[in-house]
Amino acid sequence: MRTVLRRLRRRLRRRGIGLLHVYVGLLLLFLFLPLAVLVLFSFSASGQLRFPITGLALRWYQEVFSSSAVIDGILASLGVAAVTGAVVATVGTLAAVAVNRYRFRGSAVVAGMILAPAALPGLVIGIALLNFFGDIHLTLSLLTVMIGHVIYTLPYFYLVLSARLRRFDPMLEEVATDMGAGPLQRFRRVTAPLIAPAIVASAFVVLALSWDEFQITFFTIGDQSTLPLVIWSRARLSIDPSVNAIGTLMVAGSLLVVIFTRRFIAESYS
Amino acid sequence: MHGEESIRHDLELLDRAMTRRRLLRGGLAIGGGALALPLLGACASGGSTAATQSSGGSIAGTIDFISYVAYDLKFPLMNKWRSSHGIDLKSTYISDQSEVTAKLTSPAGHGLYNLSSYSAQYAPFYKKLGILTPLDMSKIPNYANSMPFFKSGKIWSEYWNFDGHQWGVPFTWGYDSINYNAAKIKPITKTSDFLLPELKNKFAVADDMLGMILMSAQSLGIANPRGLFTTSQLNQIVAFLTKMKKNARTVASGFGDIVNLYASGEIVANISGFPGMQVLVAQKGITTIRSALPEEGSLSYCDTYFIPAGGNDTASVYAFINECLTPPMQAQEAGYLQAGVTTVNGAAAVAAPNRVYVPYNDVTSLFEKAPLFGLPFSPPAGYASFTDWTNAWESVKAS
Amino acid sequence: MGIGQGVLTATRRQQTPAPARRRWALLLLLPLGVAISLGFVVPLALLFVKSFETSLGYGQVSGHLTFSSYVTALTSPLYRTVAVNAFEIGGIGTVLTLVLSFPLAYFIRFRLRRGQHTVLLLIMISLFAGYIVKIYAWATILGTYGVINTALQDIGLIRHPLSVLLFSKIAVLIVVTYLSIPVSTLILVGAMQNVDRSLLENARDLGAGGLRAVTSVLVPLSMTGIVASLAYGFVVISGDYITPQLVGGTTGQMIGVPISDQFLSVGDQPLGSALSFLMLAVFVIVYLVLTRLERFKGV
Repeated sequence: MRTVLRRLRRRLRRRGIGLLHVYVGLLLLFLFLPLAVLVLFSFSASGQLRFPITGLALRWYQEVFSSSAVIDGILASLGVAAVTGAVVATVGTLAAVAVNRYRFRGSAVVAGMILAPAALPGLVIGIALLNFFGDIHLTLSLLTVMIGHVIYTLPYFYLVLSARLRRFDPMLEEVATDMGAGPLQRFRRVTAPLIAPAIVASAFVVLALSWDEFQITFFTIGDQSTLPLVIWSRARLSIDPSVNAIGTLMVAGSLLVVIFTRRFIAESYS
Repeated sequence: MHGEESIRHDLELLDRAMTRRRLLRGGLAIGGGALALPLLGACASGGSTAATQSSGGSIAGTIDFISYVAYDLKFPLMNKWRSSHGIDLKSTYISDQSEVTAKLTSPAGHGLYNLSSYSAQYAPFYKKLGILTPLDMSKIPNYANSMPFFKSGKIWSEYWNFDGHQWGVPFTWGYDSINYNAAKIKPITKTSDFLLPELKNKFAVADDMLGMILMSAQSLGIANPRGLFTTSQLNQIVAFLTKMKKNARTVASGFGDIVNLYASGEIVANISGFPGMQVLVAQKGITTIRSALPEEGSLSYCDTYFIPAGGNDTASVYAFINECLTPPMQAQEAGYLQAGVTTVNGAAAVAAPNRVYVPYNDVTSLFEKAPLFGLPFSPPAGYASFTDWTNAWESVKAS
Repeated sequence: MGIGQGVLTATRRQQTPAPARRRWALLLLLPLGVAISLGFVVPLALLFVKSFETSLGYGQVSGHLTFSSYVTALTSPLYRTVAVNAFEIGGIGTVLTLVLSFPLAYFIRFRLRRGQHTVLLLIMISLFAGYIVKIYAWATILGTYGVINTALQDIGLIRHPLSVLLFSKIAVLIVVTYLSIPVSTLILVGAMQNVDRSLLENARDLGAGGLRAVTSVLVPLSMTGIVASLAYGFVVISGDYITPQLVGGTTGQMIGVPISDQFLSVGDQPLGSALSFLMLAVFVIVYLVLTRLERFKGV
């Protein structure tokens, strides 16, 4: 057995494939196995979620798209994500700019407070909000969900944006100041256009997080449902490939978001 | 006959049936809003809403309903009846009876709703909380068609008609049973069978506090009509259930999960179950699921419409309740709610496939073997309360 | 930051006087302050207060303050079991996640040139592909007739399906680790960005083998990322209340489940709150331990 492995390793090495490559390949396979299974079974003609798959069909997608519950869920998720994104982008940008550009005392504390929600599991945030809404007699609805999503995604937006802001070269602003630009002008003509891509990228992270969020939403939602909750209630009633179809749609949605931000991701990791 | 959507609907009802007794929010309050609730259960026989006696006078108005999804009877026949009488329906859905309690006892909820339901045994408790209204039974003449059990006798005088008034109208009922896949194992006849090594890792326990506690009590021989257990008796039940849980494959949080588990081959039995499980799993292609009333006995449930204190527009509500007791509606309800109906002529009208939910031929002996147990909301000293039961069940699940 | 940038910053600071700076900063921070206070600080504070109330059942509380919920939470063997379970799986899970992600992060940061973006993209896709969806997918994969059992039986490695793969602690561990790997990888890659490639090369030049170069140079330098990954993993995994319900079966229950039950069905909210804050206390302790670790090994 040992010699077989050694020979295999040598052969792979010759092709420039080391142990590390194999490991990474396997790990990526592991990461994508459930998704592959998910997508595969969403096209299964029979209702069975077992191998072998007998035939391919689009019927589950037809069924899903004709279900008003699913459509409502998609619209609800999109709405929540959009509003959350807008709110977080506004609040978060102002905050990130404040902390990064103006070095005032206590900025570390502020940063800590912004990041605090990320240190808690969604469970605690969810029940704290549920309790809070009960105390102030606020009916649960998509609004309460949005509040939860804003709190949840704000730290991540802030993290990503401030990481980019740190790479931002203050030289350009200096030049503008030297040329006589006032603070507002400086912001408008120099800062804003430069950090806009960073803001957009960070906002996309928010969209993706909100689109996918379940744990906090579970506690703060009222009569409507976001897409993850539609999947949850559907899956509890019957795990048939229609759940897979919705899941695949969710993946597709995330894929789109990630592709859009591809350019911006490239910048941060170069 | 069943479209995909209606099958989903059926399953959703099943899930609701389980969640009636305790709950994980994932079931119907959320799913109810999301899942399109259209379709009907069985094929509609009996076209016209037969004019059994109906109340005169203007009944147009709005029903502000709060209870489980599907208890507002949104199947086509009833929808047509309502729209032809100008009765609007606004529904708030809950996933557990305790939500009704919470909403109706809070000042914010007073006067918001004029139709709700309680599990029969909640009656004394709700009466004490002051959220029931005495009913004007002259507006519900069809109640006279109820089976004897639901309009007379000891249980009736505990849960529906006491202190000189009628407080609720029972409209749907059923009982807990054991389910198993006859193709994979031989018939299971006793609750205590689930402790046997032969069944290790092969069945699901339903996350159904009332069902599990009471079925265990029956098996241990300590069940009593008032649902009173001493602390040591409750501990006995907990020990019994813990052993059973440890023998199980998993605790299923909804009936829908159980259907999935059968379909994926993970389990061959489940407890607590109900007769309709056969129907539901059959829709997944497995027709060999059976239902059995355990030898030691079981429990029944019966949901009851009532008018919350402070409710307005009650004319519409009375008409609605009266209408739901007519044979064509009852026939629809049997399939829609996957449960038994409460009137004699209604029962006669139930189509064959929907007769599986309760034994219409011998209702009395069913209630002897599977009683409507009282619930200990305010037990005498030394006995476990409903909250104790809830905590006991939590400890079983977490063990 | 190099010397040049430092000088520039100093110059800039001179140009904008301190009080004006503070005023601007506070103005910009106002919306955030409102959001965080209302959406986070206040709810948590209210929850904390709630943990001292007396429960009347069904979500009702009396104004009478007491420690009894904390006493119950700490002394009841029921909660101890699920808490231990949660922290056990949290601990093992986060370490496992770190161990599995580290080589991947290393590979992405130091071994890929052009493929970096693609692989990061792939990881982000797997991250955002639906939390609930992924758990259910695993339930299908780990099932008695699922992918793994079928494959292993077909190859001939086992004769009977492994029922322990699903509805067990193992199932929970597999799923939570799976769920944490993408974020952990991203955190580690981020931390490794600051590590100069040349440092590793120098280590190798000085005679350290590949693995030793990594452990003696890379690990200490990316300690911030390692600590962050461990902390994040521990919190998220211990607090997961969905995975144990769906795949945990009868042995894999974790503390998140009774906590959420208290709020959604049982109605003893003071107890649920007390359990949550005790859980948070454990997290704080773990954070402190981990940051101590960071300072100890860091450069």
